[in-house]
Amino acid sequence: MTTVATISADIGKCQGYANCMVQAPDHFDLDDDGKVEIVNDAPSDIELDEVRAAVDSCPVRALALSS
Amino acid sequence: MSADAHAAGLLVVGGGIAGLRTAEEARSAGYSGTITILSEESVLPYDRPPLSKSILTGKSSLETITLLNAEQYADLRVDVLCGRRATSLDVASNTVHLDDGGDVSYDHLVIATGNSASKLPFATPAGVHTVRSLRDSEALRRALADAREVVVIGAGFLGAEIAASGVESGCAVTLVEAESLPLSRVMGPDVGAAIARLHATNGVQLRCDTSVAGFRGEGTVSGVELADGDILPADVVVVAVGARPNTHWLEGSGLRLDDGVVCDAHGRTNVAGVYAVGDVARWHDPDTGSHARHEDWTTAAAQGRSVGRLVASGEIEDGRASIPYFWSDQFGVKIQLLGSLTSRGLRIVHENPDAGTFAGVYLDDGDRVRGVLTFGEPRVLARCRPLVLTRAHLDDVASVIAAATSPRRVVEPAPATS
Repeated sequence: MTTVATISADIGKCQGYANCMVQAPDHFDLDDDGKVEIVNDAPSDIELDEVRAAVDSCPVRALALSS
Repeated sequence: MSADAHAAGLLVVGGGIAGLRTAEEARSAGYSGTITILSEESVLPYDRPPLSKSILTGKSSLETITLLNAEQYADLRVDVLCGRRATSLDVASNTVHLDDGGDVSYDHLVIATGNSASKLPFATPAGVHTVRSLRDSEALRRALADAREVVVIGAGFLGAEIAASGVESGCAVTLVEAESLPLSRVMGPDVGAAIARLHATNGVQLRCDTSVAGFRGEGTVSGVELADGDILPADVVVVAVGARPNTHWLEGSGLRLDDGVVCDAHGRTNVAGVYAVGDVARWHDPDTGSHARHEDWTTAAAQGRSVGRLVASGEIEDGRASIPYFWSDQFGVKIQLLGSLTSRGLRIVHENPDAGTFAGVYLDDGDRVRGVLTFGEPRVLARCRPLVLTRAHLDDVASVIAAATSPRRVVEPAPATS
């Protein structure tokens, strides 16, 4: 049984620093405005550590991971 | 509440990212005592990179850049003492003296007092700005709103970002730099030339190989006089010529100071129980065998986390997992550096001449990747982390770049054979 974690972003807080996409490029991208775009909001168990590192790396705490 | 009420526990002096991360990590690693952040600013700790960008253009405000609100500090059981400055340290009695006459005692002290902007050796009339705090940045934003001609002195990342923000605010901007290209001494001539082109394309007048002889104007600045005799008219002048560590208050305390607070590789000073993190700290680097002071966001946050954990649990973090990451935004172009520069300079491995973007690597003597730099190629940078993490060989770089520059998330149909 796997729990499904979901990534969410607060676009108002995002400054487009791209720390998240450096940590987890399969899940985060930047849109044309330079704000975070979540490419895949449901990381698998294997990807979870990488995604958690990405969420933690956000300088402005614009990302959250809920399960 | 009197400052004297805060007895012992962990005292963090400085409300920047290094100080905040120290407090957060100490608590999450199980520190059970009092945690206090002392900040000379009148507002709660905020994110500083926007000070040279979106605060200047009005796209961000104190509300959007505040890192944690009062409720979140209460949840963390972290007290923030705002608007008070540490004036001296007495390591014999574990006491920090404050500018309001109060004292704060500590069991563990973390020094995170950051930098102050360096000044030019001339009398400074009104209208000459530096940017280190939100207050500085808001003052400059107001000045830019009414300004027509702006001169920015110093084309480092801070000066280049401020110049770009000045153009976005509708001002005519001249950027003055003592070297022959912006940032070339740090980043190399390719990056310097690319930044120069970017600024020229966007209307910034770049004056390189030029030093400043003084300011013009009675009371209020009216221009900048250059060493070659030229005078650049200016309503607003911004001085961005580097910064000095805020160690004034530590002189005579017994802490070892040398262009910053000298620390071992884990942030410990020569006095037991006293640590330093962020811009003010000069940590030992086992890789180079010397001490270095870093002035970037990622290092500050990583040092804070590592010292927070060390104070709470005595545990030393494995620093190898964290790679330095630096970024700058100018005219919508993201300039990113992951890892470290090397003396061999930048080797360009990917270029898109139409877009003016490129990516390059910094190699060590064994042709292994120690750093990756991208100019307007955030997707390439994002794919290069494993290269830096594993110190991949130059031969392995091309395939990673190729994968990163191919269209992503789009499965192309196989070409029809005919």
